Amino acid sequence: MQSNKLKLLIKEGLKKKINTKWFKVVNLILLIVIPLIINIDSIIKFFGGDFNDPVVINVIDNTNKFYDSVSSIYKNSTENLSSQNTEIKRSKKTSTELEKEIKEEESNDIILEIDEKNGEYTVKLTSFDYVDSITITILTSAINTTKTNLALLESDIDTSLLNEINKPVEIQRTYLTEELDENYELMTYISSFLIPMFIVPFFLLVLIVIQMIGAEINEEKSSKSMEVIISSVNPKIHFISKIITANIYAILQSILFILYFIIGIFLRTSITGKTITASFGPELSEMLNTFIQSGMLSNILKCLPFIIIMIILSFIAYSLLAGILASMTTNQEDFQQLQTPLMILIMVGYFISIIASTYEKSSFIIMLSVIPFLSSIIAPVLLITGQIGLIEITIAIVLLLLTIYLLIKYGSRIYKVGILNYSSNNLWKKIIKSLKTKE
Amino acid sequence: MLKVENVTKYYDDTPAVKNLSFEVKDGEIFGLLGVNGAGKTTTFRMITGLLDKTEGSITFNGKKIDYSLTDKIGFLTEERSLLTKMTVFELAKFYGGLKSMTNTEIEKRLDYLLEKLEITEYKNRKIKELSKGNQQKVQFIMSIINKPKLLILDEPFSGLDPINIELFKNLILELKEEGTSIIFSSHRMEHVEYFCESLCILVKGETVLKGNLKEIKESFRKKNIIINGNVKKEDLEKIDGVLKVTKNGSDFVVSIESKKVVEKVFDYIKKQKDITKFVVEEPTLNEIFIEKVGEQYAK
Repeated sequence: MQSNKLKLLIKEGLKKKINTKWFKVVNLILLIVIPLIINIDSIIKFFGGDFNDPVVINVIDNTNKFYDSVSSIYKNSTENLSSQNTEIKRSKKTSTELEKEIKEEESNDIILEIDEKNGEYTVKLTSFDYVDSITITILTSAINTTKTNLALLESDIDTSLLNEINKPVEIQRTYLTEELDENYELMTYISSFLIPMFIVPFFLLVLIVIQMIGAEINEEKSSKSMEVIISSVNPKIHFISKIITANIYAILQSILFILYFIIGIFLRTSITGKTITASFGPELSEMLNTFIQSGMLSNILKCLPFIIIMIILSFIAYSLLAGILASMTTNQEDFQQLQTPLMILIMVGYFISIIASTYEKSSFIIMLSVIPFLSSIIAPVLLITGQIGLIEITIAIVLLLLTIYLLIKYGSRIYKVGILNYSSNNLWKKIIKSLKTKE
Repeated sequence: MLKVENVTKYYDDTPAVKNLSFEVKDGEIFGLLGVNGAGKTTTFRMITGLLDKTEGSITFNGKKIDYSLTDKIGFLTEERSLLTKMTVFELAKFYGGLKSMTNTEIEKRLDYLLEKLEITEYKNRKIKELSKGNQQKVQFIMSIINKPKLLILDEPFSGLDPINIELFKNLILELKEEGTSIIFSSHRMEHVEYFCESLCILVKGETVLKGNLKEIKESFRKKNIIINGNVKKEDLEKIDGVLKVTKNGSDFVVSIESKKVVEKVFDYIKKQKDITKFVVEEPTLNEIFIEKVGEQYAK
């Protein structure tokens, strides 16, 4: 009988949350905004602008020595940089003609004029507006390299020797610690992208769960409908229903987020006519390839069961704590204040995870990674980056399970007293007393 | 039958209810009275299982009240206990569902009650859009949606006009006839007098008066004599045993300290002219309540 009531409470709780105008409005906005963000570059291009056309670097090589080398070095340096939408070409026009054109069109094109006077090379770079620093750096490097090569050629140096001089030095890496992975630096770089991708949604979803539980309990308390509900349903069942409802809602919202993301990606591939990775530029493809080849993906897949267990348990623990705190408050404002410690716990976990790569294998951070609530974020991150192993993650899971057990056992006693308490007087006394009462 | 036996409830060291005992038979309406903070709400919460008692026992038809029995209990709280964002039908389905009713049963019962309280048009309206009086009607409907065997009514007529009070009264009497045990609490003593055969008055958690209403009135020393005629207020006040003389329209209401004084007043009246009314009345519950509660507060 109580299980039917549990189902009813969950159903009504979800209906109350989903069957609202604001849920539909917010999700409609997300359905529009998320695909828009994913396709923002295509949208910007659709409305037109200078960025559609490459910035032309017009080289006026009055020396007839520089252009071939400079353009070759420049093209090589920029071929993997998707942000560099430039084109280098030799111009037959005079600088005065080009300046006039650029001024009239207010274009972003550049004039690079190279002269030789008394054996000295001078370079003049003219533009209508500011030029980005990457373009300047690459051009400077190309000109200097060309100048050096010319100097070497003019000194009658042997071509093979010249090639040998210009050949880049290959740095061989040696690690004195055997188990170190040669891809580690790259993995750390990739982790800096991946970790926020895990933490931010986790943070948002925990926030949704906490807010929902608080709002639900406070609404029932402030409307006094709690008395009617609890006179028909065991407080423990009511407590569990709130936890399940909030988590189902969080899962549902996550699925919708993923759906909007997939729609965005689908639109992107349809618009650009490229594969998913190619549509985001060569950097992403390269990063993904490295990610797969480095073994990091297989490492994540191996850790996945533990990560999933940690996430599920963390959501349950945070929900239980939120439910207990909400039952103790008498209105929504009080709950907002009381949820600050929860937010701090998540934030601490977040920051520790971010700095974990800087203080690699720090004993203090590893210790924090097993402490319930902090472990929710830190432990999965340390596990993925290989800073903790099976033993530490098992300890973290066991401690979290123990916390959940204690929260259910003692929390439901606090909840039973809290939900029918409408005064903040002697609150802590009442809570301590409720902890001593046997069910 | 509800049986409350020697029930005591302490909040820390403060007693909220002390040694309370009473019975409510099937089809009986029992009045539980007291000023604010007397322990009525605590008693209701203990009966419905919301609060654990410190001592004593509460049984319904011989069984301890727990969640296997709550489906047969209805509870109308003094304050509004409605989820106002829902429609009347949605809330009925929710509260009825919590009483293990099916949706078909709920709708059938809801339609009947809406018709009885003359608000059928509000079935699919959001509760927050309804007036205070109509919200009270909805609150009442929710408390009896499950045709309870035990019903607790805490200030049921709050915010209602006299016409709607009549509609409520009819439904309460209907439930009584169906055999529902009803505990009725109100500060309006005329309503308690109308419904209750027996009652209990609580002051600071202690029972100061308990029993059958008729017997309580009969045993109450003070009576009232209603006189209409050519009499002087000052002369009446001079009679030994007369406590107070007040004017109520053209009538004089003479409060006397005991039945023995009736004869003395009658002796005086016999000597006066144009006497059209001489009625000895039992005291009102209101008077009994004020006196009993007042005595305890004075202590």
